[in-house]
Amino acid sequence: MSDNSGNSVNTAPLLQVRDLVHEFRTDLGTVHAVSGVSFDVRAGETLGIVGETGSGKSTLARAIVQAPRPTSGAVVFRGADLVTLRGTRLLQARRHLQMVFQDPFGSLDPKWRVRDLVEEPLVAYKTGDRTARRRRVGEVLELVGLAGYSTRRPRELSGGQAQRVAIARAVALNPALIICDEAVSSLDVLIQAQVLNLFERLRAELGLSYLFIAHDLALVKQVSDRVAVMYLGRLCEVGPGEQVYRQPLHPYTRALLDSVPGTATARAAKTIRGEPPSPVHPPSGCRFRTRCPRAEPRCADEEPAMRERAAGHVVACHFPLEGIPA
Amino acid sequence: MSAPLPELLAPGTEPSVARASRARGRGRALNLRIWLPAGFLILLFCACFLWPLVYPVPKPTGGSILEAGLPPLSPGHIFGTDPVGNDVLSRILYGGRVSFEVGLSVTAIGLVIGGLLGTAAGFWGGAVDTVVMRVLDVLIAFPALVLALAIAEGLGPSEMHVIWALSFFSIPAFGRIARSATLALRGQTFMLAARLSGTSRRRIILRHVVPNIMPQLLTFSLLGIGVAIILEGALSFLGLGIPLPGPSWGSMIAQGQGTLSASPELVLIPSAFLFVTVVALNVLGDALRERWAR
Amino acid sequence: MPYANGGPDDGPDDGPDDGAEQVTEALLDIEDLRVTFPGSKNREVRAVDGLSYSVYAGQTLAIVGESGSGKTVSCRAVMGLLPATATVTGSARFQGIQLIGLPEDRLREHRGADVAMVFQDPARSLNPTMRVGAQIAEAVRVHRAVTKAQAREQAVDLLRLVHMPLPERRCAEYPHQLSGGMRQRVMIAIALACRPRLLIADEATTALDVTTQAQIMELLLELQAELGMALMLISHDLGLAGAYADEVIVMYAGRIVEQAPAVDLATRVRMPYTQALFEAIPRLERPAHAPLPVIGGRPPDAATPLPGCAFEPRCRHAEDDCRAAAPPLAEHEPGHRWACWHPVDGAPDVR
Repeated sequence: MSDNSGNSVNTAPLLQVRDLVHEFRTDLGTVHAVSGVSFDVRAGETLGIVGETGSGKSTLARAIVQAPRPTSGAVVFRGADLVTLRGTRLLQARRHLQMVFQDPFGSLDPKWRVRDLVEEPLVAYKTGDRTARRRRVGEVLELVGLAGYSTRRPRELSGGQAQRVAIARAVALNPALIICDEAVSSLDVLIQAQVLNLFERLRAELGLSYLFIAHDLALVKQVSDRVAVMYLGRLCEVGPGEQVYRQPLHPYTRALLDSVPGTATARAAKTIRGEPPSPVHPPSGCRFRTRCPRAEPRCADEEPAMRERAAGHVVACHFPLEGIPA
Repeated sequence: MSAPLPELLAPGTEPSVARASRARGRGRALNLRIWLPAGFLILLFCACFLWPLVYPVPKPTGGSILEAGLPPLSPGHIFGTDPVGNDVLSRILYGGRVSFEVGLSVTAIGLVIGGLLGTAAGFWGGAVDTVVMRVLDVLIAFPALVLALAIAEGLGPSEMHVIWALSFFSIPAFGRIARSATLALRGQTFMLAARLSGTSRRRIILRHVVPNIMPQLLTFSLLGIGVAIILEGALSFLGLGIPLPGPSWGSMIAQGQGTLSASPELVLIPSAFLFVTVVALNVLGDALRERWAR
Repeated sequence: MPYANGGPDDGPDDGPDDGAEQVTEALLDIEDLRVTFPGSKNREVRAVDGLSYSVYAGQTLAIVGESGSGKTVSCRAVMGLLPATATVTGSARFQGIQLIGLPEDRLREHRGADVAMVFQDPARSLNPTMRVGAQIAEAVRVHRAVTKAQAREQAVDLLRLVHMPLPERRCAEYPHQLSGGMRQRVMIAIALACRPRLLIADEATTALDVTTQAQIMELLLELQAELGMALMLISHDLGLAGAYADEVIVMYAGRIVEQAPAVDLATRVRMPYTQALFEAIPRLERPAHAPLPVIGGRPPDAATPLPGCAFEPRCRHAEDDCRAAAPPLAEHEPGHRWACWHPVDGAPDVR
């Protein structure tokens, strides 16, 4: 049994995002970065979010962790709505939610040593005394394969090692959910594979859930159980990874698949046109209509709602692709 | 242009490749530019403050008219004496004390007060930022000379008053530097990561912001000491600083003007010390900035 | 399009320059190219360690490698864009003219007119204070004796050539007003201003979205066919290379480790490093959560080269002779070169 977001309602999900909106003012106008996003992440699963530049996926990630607080909407994590919490209550609620960022060096204070970086969350949440904390740091560094690196500074590390320090820090408090915001996009292909394997191993050993955000469709599908496709602040399609790949329902998903080098790239020119519109002036109705080869007048008048088309597979489109295999 | 190529510094590259791409020998030249001026300054500092304690040096004031106008390298007076009979070397050393005291005090005041204000403004932004910046603007709006003149007239010239007057400018100067450095830091991902780790704001400022803006502030301090020394010299030259007969490199230059053709060394010697000291501070400041901007 | 003189249709006056005629003589001939930088402790960093390959007119050649492989450094060496601290030896002949060691003013004649380069980050390669049209016109006037008005007209034509919508309006805009894809089109327009025979795209699509990347790549191929250019794609993306190039060169630690036509490489990879690259790329066909076959370690320190094969410490198939001597790059199969004592056989593991 599923609700309209394509999520099972049998067990309470770990993370429930409902109608999340985030807008902010700039000199050019109001940027509608996230405009009504809803999804669930269940315990033990990895939900992947695919989106290109301007999709709002990074803003979404930050809005979920309340940094900064979203304009409106609900973020229910382990039963508590983070949007309504303040101060210590928010701190405690956020303890089991961690994040790994895109730039491995940017997320580490260059003046700190590895062991202090990993210890930081332990210190902040006052878990045990110094000895206990140091022991945990050692454990976690070993877990990510960096035993013996505790006294190094970030500039003495390679990109892959720095990212592993960031992962160690995220894992130190034994979180339930880790948000990976383009966490491997800056790494070389071979290092990227190493880090992805690390993510999988931690998932298995520690029972983690992930919200994996990236612009690379193959990458997202590789690590995810379910995949959500995001365009200009809204979700287009959510469903099991295999299914979204094999039977994409949204024209944008189709375009993304066609753009992957090596997969019938000649079709790319036909499945998507033009430039992405600005998030300051998003198109009315369906935001993808200005580039969609299937757009009709209805698409400009009416914003398509998320509807379930197959088990656990929802799409927001007036004219979804039906049964056209990838 | 010898910035390393992006590819050589890309994540995933062996760090030694990045280090290795810097020109050979530049490291050695940099070390020279750090230790040579640093050594000189330390030597000068020790000479000014410690030498008179261990070695009998004639007093800088109250000289006997019988010894007036002696040229340099006279017995007992290496730098000679001034028209009033004071030993020039002694006046240089005690004048150096004044320069160091003023330079260091003004910079310390600026660093602490200005640094605090600027960091607060940069970190909290909003109303705090506006208020602090307006306060700093007020301070910086005071014209230097007029202020020093007013203080000297109203309260009488003295070393303390010079320090107050100069602090009026070092505080906003440091404030702006600290603020922009903090603002630049706020955009860094590791600040967000620290917040998400649960670290308190206070701890973030102490452990993340301060260590990262310190290099910039310290470099600026060194240059600032040089500026403060020059300004003290200028004020004393104008009679608004250290009152005569107290020694100061600036007032020595002013005094020496009268006998420029007869005894040019009375102007040249303090000028030389002023020049070399400030150059040493500048070179050291630049070199440290390079070293720390790795 | 009538032009008094120096119109965009006029190429350099030697050799045929229309259509995609294959000339057997190479357009660009690199032989034993070596680039070293001074390193710390009196050591030398060997960024490029004996590179030899050729590019032919109308061909698309991809050079693939990770960071530190030397792919970007080698192209910049050919274009003379390396810092003065770099030592470049070897030969790089463009239509017979030796480019290495050429004085700057002579090199400038070739840059843009014969060989042009498009870089990765258009935001940094374009002057933010100059309008887009002016920058393109400036590129035109470097090599052609035309008036400002003519150059501006040609700028509009060039934007049309790269499928920029509303080219006249774009010319009046500043780079920050354009999207990433549009900026890259401007960069391509600038590169094409004087109809170069060879266009080098150095990670030109890396910073772009995948949909924009597909559009830009299609554009490059279309321009190549239309203008009869040779195209060199420098990338870390083996998938991109395989999809768009005729021939692929794989570089590791400053050397070529494998070179083959793109079709052959995918199905008959030989060098273990290339195989590792293929296996590490996430693929849509793979099931989720399948562990990626990885190799540990990192590329060797370019300041301390090993006597044997540079990949040996990380290679699953390494044997003793791999450590003793570096395998030479040789054409073991027709059209397929590799440098390996114990090459692997057949298709990479795509499971």
